[in-house]
Amino acid sequence: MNDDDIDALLLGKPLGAPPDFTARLTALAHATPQAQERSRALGPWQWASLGAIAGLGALQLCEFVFVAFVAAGAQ
Amino acid sequence: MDCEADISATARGDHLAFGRIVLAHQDRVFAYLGRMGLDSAMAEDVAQETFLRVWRHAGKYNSRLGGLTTWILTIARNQALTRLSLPVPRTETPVSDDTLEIASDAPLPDEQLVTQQRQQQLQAALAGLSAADRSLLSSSYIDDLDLAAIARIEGCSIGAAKVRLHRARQRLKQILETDHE
Repeated sequence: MNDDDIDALLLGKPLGAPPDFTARLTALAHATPQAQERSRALGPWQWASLGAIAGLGALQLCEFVFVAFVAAGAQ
Repeated sequence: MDCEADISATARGDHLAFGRIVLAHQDRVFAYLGRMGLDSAMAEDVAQETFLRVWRHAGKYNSRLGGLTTWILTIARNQALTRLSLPVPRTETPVSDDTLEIASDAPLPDEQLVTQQRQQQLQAALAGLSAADRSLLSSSYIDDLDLAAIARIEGCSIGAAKVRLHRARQRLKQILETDHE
């Protein structure tokens, strides 16, 4: 058996779609909701939350530096 | 309208565009699943689930990662491998039309009989390969798919796909020759 024989075997009589397959799938699609793709861009509320978290973090850092500075001065 | 425009329209909920995609790809998907060793009922189930996933996730298609046919066949491959990995239910095997034809007393034309025997021989030989190798072999017979697309479907490098394909063909040849003796 050579490569041509294998090709002939694998290419012979391929499985085909039933005649009403496209119509059936289109009908099923009508009854199937599409997945909602999540937007990768951040919304205004997400930006506001991020800003607030970053602001609080910066404040705490400043407070820590200030306290450390005062403590070092007192010694 | 080309397939790229159809998939964009499908992502926006256009059923007609989706129908055109199914029509353009269904034969390739069924031929691929058939060569993977799935019977017609299982192939229909897998093809249906494949196209429904295309419908549901059309918005995720990215043409920069490969063509539409490659994307659809990747979904079909994953669905088929999942299905083939499930345990086969121990129910009575339904008698297909093909089986009825074989069991019938009516004589078959010689040519038809030979074709049928060859197909049975091929199915038996394909069963000797792993599902992943059957998928690789099957996708290599789909028109318009180059080795890069086949490698993308199989999730491996081009070099690995080439080597695996060669080995799968050799193994299939070996099984068919052993059966023939």
